[in-house]
Amino acid sequence: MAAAAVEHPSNAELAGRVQAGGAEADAAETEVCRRFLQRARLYGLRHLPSVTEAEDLAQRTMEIVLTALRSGRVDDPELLDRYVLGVCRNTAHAMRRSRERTAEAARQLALESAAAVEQPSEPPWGTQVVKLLTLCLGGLSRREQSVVQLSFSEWQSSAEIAEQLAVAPGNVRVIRHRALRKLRECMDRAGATS
Amino acid sequence: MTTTCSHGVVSESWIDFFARDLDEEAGRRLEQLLFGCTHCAAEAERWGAVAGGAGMAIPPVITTDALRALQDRGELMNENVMQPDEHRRATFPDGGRLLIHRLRGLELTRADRVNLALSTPSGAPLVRFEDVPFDRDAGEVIIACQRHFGESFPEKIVFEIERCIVDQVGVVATYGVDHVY
Repeated sequence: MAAAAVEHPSNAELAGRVQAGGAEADAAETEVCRRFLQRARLYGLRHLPSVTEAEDLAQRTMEIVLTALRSGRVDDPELLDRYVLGVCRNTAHAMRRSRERTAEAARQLALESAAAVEQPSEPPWGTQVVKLLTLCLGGLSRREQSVVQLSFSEWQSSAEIAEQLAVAPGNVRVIRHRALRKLRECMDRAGATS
Repeated sequence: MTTTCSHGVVSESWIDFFARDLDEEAGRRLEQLLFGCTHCAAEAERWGAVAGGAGMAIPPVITTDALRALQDRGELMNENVMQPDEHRRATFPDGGRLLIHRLRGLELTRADRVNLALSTPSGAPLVRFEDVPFDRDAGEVIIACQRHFGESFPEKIVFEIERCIVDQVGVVATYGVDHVY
């Protein structure tokens, strides 16, 4: 039982160790990152326009959270998960505002905005996942491929995709569900998502 | 198959979550589970990897529009334009991951579907892609050959294009490529 408690400390225990500093603080900070960094990335994937920005959000969030923990500024450490979610929301909001201001400034200066969003050199899920998905995408039908690319590369809404592919919005969701299940099965066969 | 986590979240909900296709209330509920439930977070991570990774991956056969998008975003690539029955040596660009094979000279005006089969020069099958994108008017299939394919396939590959009209399927062209990585 004692060993299990050491291996899986509660959020409050982790927060206490980080704030206390000393020998255990580094390990506790590592565990906080292991627990929440990927979740922050996933939050960013849903709210920001690129994987690069999602990664940026995750890094900024963890910096803010660790700084707050070190200085004891997290009011209820047992609810650390809600605190991290709140930091993600605020940081994503700030990033969106910053991007909007930059776009507005560029518009006023009559500058052309960047044609494309830069992709990170190393995907957060690992290069191997993207390599496998490349081949798995080849197993989808043309329509399924289009829906996947428009949904997760160009981040178009179901209504926009429906109009582009001349199908009903409800069908877009059905095609997307089917396509992602096929991709996941393909990845599971290769042992990449388990 | 639809799977559920301990909070009853079905797979489709996580797919909608990453596709940004949920109403605000449902989205907020899943965000809370993402951070507050380890089991949910693990499931979300699997779907997030598939959705996010698929957005970054380039399919092996692409449309003309997709090729243009890659060019617009500055992807470094070499283009290899080929006619049926040609055999060509083609080289990846220094520091680039893409070698584009433009397989031309195809009569596809009446095609319902097009399939692509890869084999070795001796005829051993490697992989087969069904219902691939094609340009009907240009009579072209565009292959986005990627440097990491070298880990899975030999350097010498024969591309075979099948044209499907209703239920009649036939090989209409082959192209041989020696890849230089």
